[in-house]
Amino acid sequence: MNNMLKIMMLFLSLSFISCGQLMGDKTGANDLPEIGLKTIGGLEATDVEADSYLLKGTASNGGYFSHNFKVKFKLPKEEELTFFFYTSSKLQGGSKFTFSRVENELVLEMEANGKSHKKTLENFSLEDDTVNLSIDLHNDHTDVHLLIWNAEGPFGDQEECSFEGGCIYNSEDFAFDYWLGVGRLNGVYWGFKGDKSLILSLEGPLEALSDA
Amino acid sequence: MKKIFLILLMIANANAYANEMTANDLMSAASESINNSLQGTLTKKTVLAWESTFNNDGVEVKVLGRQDQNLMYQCDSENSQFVCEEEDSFFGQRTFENIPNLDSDFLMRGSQVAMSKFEKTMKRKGFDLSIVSSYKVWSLELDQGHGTKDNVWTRIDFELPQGKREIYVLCHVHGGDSKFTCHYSKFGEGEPSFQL
Repeated sequence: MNNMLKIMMLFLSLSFISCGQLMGDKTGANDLPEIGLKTIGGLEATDVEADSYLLKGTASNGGYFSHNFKVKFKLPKEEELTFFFYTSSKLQGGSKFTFSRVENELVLEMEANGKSHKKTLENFSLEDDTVNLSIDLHNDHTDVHLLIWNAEGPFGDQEECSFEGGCIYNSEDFAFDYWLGVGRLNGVYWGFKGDKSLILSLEGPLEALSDA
Repeated sequence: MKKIFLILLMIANANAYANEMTANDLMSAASESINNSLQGTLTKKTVLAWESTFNNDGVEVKVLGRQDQNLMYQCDSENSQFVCEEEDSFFGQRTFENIPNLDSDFLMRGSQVAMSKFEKTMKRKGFDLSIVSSYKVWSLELDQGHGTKDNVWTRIDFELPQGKREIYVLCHVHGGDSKFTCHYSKFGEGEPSFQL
């Protein structure tokens, strides 16, 4: 009888632990290590390898969630910076955004689950070498949906926003031909690779700006 | 020989009919057929899915009810209005799972937004809705992670110079909003079949 009571108590106590409590933000499994921390762009970070950094903050709900990230950095000619979203703690997998420049134009090469897409981000000037972006990744649909805005706005999210100037990048633009079946991203971490002195400020993961 | 000639003539007629018409006609015929079904077997809350396809005589519309009522209508355009007559019906015993309690107006609005999205995509490629040969609509309850459960799926079959293709469009309304948001998808979830 005593054993039966113990088993029942065990089941009852397990039933009080919600799924959310099993995620890294509650257990600490997704936290950065305590040693070797540095601050980059206002966020705690740790080295992954030379010029690669894991940043503080993990995606909610095991990554099956939409988030916004704000990144502000300098991008002089001949430089490039790569950001990783919904990635592993080794910055492998997930989505990879590599920013480079051609004269005064900002070029993005995006990779996710083996698919890549390169685009010059129009309506964006690099005259003062500064890039200030707000990035949404919606990882709660069949295929991840990406939106990028100039952090100073405007913040359109309609399907035509990249054509009409409301946003500067929208994966819906190539969803029909190329993006189909890309799937969701598997990680929860974020980070970047490049010269950390170029980073001006970083914020994330935040609540997604758009629910499109 | 005569038979082959007749078959070729039928195919040519079907193509000619389809070429004059667009996906807007498929949607009008579907709307008229659903209105007809609401005067008989179904109610707005029991329309589960429909499919509208060009055939030799105009547009064929299949309507599926929650209790596995399979209705088929043949629609013809008269003075730019569709007249649809029930041609066949079959009452099966299938059980459908994860069906949200949505009415046919909600499905119709969702599918219209899906088709509008498709039209914009095609316009950028230099095509219009005359390339559509068939479309199918159904509802599915599935949480997409941000509290959205009422999904309207639309499958569009069309033909480009490269060949025939189909695309799935998932549309849903976010909490407190009345605007549909739609996404392209390679596969449809919970796509029902018709028994007619």
